[in-house]
Amino acid sequence: MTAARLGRALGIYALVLACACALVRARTRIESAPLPARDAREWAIDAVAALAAGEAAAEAPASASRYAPAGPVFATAWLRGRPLAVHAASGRTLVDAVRAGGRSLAADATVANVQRTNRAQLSYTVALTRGRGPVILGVPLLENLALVPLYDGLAATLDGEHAYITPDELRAEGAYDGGVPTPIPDLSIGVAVDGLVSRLARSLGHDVEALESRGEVERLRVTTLVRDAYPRETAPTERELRLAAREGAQFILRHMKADGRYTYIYDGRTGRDRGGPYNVPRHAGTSYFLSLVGRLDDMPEARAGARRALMWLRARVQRCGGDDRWCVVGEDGRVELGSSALATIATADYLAGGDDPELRPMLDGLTAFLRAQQRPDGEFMHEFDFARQRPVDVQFLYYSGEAAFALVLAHQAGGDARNLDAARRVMKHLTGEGWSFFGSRYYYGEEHWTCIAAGAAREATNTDAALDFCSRWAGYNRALQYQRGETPWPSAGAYGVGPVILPRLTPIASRTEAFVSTYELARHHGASDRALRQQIELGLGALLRYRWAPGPTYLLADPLGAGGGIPGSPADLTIRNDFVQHAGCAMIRWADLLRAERSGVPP
Amino acid sequence: MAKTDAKKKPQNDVSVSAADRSATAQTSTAPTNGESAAKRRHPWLGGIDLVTALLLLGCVWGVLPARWWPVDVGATLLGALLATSGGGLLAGAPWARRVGVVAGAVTLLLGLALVTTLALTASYLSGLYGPVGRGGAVILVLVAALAIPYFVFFPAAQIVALRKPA
Repeated sequence: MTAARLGRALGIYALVLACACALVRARTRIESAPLPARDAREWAIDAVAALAAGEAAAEAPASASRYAPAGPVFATAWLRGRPLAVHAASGRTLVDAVRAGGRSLAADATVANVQRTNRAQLSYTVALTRGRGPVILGVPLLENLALVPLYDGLAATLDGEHAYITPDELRAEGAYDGGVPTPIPDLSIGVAVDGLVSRLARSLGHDVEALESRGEVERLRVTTLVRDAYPRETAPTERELRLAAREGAQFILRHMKADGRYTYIYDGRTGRDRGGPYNVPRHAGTSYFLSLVGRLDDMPEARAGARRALMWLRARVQRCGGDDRWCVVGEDGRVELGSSALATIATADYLAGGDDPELRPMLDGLTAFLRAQQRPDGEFMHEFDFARQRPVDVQFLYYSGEAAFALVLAHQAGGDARNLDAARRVMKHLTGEGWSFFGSRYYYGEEHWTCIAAGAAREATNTDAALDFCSRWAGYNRALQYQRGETPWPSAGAYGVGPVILPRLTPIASRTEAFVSTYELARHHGASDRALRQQIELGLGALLRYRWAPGPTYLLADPLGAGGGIPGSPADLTIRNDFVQHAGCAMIRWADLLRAERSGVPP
Repeated sequence: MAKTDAKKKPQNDVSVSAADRSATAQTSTAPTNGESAAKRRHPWLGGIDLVTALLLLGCVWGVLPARWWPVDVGATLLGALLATSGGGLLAGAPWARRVGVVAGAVTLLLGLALVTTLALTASYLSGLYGPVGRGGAVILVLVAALAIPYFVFFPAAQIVALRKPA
């Protein structure tokens, strides 16, 4: 084969491939039909609720009569976050479909029964189909990514019969983001589509083989009409941020237990603690948040909550390597630096708001332990062998940064110069030789605690290297920060590398918290970083957008109890205590900075 | 019937008898046409084929966390083919040119299959999810930049370089 012939063959291949790609994209893409006008949407919500309750619906506005749905309209009755009954209705206009759906709900025996016995806890939604698209089944991973989380459901048709699974049902089941586990802890993506297809087949009275051979499975793009918009765009003003931080603290306090522990994972679908092992480092981190809000927003109940939680921690502190060295022993008997560092952070912040003779010795003991875990090069040994009473020189994510921040705060709260010296040495290590290798300018780990520590140390030590490091880290993250329209969801301000994964809120929160510190550090050095400011406000906007205020109320068992919480992602219906901690810390600290700017007093 | 057909065969027919094939083989294995082993050597192509074989086998058997027979068997066969081609081209073996062309062709076909799969997958996901964002675009470009030179351009160049002189 000559070079010319091979070149021609490859050229033709490239052309055919480009055409095939364009075809696949066009075939897969769903062009969403427009939503009806606002008055039609509001009428639809009220009409379904009225008709389901056996009452007459109000007269439909003209816009509802003009609107032709692109597919089935789903009328759903919800009871404490669970779909009690879902009825798919069709009609030439929105009015016809909504009336049909409402009447179907009224005729549903289950709904009628709850209407009689528990009407106050019932709620209704109307969801509109806005488009359809094909779904590829049988290809691993691709099959799991076939549904766009929050927007796509499934429809099956066989022998003229239809069955549906709506996006709201998938959210209520926690089906989004659970299909494929990833090597990253706490991260899974996609949907287990094969199970859903089996379910559709069963509801049609057939098996999967029959559905796949004779029927059709499609994606449905569906939008739910609700009165309480969620996500809700909110500008990150001082007032909104204070309110959000305060409500976050109220959420934590509302679910705090009598013994001083927090609810570790709150499940919005049940309105209760999900159970499972407790996490001591996150207990300490949450206590820091309560203390911070208590201090910066004059919230005595938050401070009291922090104290109760710290007293619970104090009962778990033991001597480690010497009488003066105290460490936090985990539930499993392990001693990890992170627990003691975060306990130090919370205790030091609490003492910064006023002394406490019961907690002061704990701070001294914890800092003595932290200092004893430090190597000559500044790095920390992250474990302690309690049985043998000696440090174990291993390193994990976060702990060194947490220890740095702990020592800086402890110095501020107690004035012990040894803590500042230890903090200086670890900061020098973390922002200098600890992150110096070929390519270290292009890749970074999770450095939020390092940069929070750097910001806190700005008055006490030379932070030139830390500012350089944290500014570079912020710039790296700026490249990963979504702008408007970069994912299918309203994700501006979130961090990620592609639209397939729903943005997680905790990385936004922890990084934003650190960027607030970096901003303060830059200002301390006389620099005004406008790009960083925009980055922070975009991140805070994302957190405000997705916090539960009041959130997706129909999906929550107890919307009032869930209010103020911050979920793990837009599809997540659980709240881990550190989700609220990081978001709340970022919010209250930026609000405090805005207050300082307004009043002309440095924070 | 068969005889009649043989007589009708045009003189420039490319099919050859067993005796012809034997003669052709003798001609190509013995350095009688002036092409010595040294001249037949292709150290660059051979070296690259060997390195590619080692990388492929190392990645599949040393790095991949799970065993899946289509990948394991396919990569092993391709690795063996590239290693044979690489060894032959380095040593200047008489059969090396043909094996090198086959190795290049197989790699090119697999490369094109990979590029096709990646491109169609990206198009499918782009249709599903819309814009891929800056991070997603960087990942796609990076994958394409890594796959196309090694699995398309290089094997194509190898086929052209090793083709029989006209």
